[in-house]
Amino acid sequence: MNEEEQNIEIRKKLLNLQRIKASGDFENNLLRKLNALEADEVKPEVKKTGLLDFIFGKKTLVWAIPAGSLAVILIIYFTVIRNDSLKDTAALQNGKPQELTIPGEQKTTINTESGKSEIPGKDIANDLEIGKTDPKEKFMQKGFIETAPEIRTEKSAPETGRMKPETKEAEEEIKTFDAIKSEAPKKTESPKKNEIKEMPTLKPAEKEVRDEAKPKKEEGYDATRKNENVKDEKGKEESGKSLLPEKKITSPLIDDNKKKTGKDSTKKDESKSKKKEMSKELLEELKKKINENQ
Amino acid sequence: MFQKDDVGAFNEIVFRYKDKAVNFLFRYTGSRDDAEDLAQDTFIKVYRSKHLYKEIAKFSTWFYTIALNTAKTNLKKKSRMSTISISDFDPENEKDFDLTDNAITPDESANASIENYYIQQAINSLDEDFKRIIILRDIEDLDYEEIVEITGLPMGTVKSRINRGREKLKKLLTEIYPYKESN
Repeated sequence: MNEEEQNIEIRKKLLNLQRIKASGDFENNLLRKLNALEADEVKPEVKKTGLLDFIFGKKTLVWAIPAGSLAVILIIYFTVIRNDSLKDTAALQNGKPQELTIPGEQKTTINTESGKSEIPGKDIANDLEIGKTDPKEKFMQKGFIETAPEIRTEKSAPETGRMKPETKEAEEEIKTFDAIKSEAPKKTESPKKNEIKEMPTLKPAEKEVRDEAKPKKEEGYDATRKNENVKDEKGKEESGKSLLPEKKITSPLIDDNKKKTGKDSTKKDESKSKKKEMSKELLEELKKKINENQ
Repeated sequence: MFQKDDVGAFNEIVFRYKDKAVNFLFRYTGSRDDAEDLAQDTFIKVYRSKHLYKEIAKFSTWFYTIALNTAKTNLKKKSRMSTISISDFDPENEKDFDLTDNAITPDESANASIENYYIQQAINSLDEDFKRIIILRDIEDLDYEEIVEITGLPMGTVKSRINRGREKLKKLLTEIYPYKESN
């Protein structure tokens, strides 16, 4: 007998059993479960991150990179550089000479009292480069200035006498002016200055040749100027300190045609003469007062 | 198509196999709610492990294998949960009370006949080894080869278990539902 035929009745009963069907919301429940599982899988895993990952890993903290670098730079500036500069200023105020050593450069020493380096010619060169030189000092170095006649009148003051300073500050300026004047010959010895700024002094014969070559229209103004130059040179030769080389300065601001006009030259001469008279009067008054005080 | 993330193909599979899955799992577990949940879990497993399916076998075989494994896993989980007998709380009365199966009762299911109810009770009382093979063969009407693939048992074992299972079921039905035999 076949195995299937042994309990065929039971098989038929089991086959005829009522079929159980899925409920109406079976598919909805299935979709809900699938979505829940996918949502769980999508959840990002929380990773333990270090400091670098905390700063550079997150996009939200991108702004922290430039901010942090700027903060570090500021801290370094205020802690290191600014403190050093404050120390330097404090040392300068105390009057101690300080050595400045810059790698790759010549060792320089600054005299804190005078505020100038001990290397000859260094200060003048620096001053000329920066443009901080006093016009009075320039005047002393050059002998005369073509484009600054007003300063020339001041220059004549020490020769004839000095105006009385109205305030203490003006008095101090005059003192410093004297000090600069006394140091001026030393500075002119610097090779840099001679090389860059100064022209060699002309011999008297050469001067005459040059003066003759000038046009006749300039005679009125040039004649007075020559006289003045002659006087100045004589005064310098007498004092034995006329080592300053003559410098020719041409200012681009002043037109040559204006210089050549006769009206301007006469006006200038008049103003110069007036100023000289005024200075003489003031000097006389000063002399009187000095005598009275004595 | 199903393996290429085609949602329509998956919906077609659900439409075709949802009743079969629920019926098979209801007969295996004896609970309609559990059958529904396990059927949904089976479809989720099918969806997530679609890349593992190879066309050398029938899809129905692969699907029933997954459903059976899901049901087994669920049964193991339930067996781990300690069931407390009511007789422990009534030492004077040594009679054991069996918890009634509330999944399907004659009152709840209007269409279910009394015979079906008792047959299901007989199936539930079968051993695990006989129960799954009887369900696959006599209820789901699968071939021997398919049952061999699903269970992983040899053909001879499957056939012998089918015969032995039927005999046990007949015996159970005569005990539970004696008047039917007499009729």
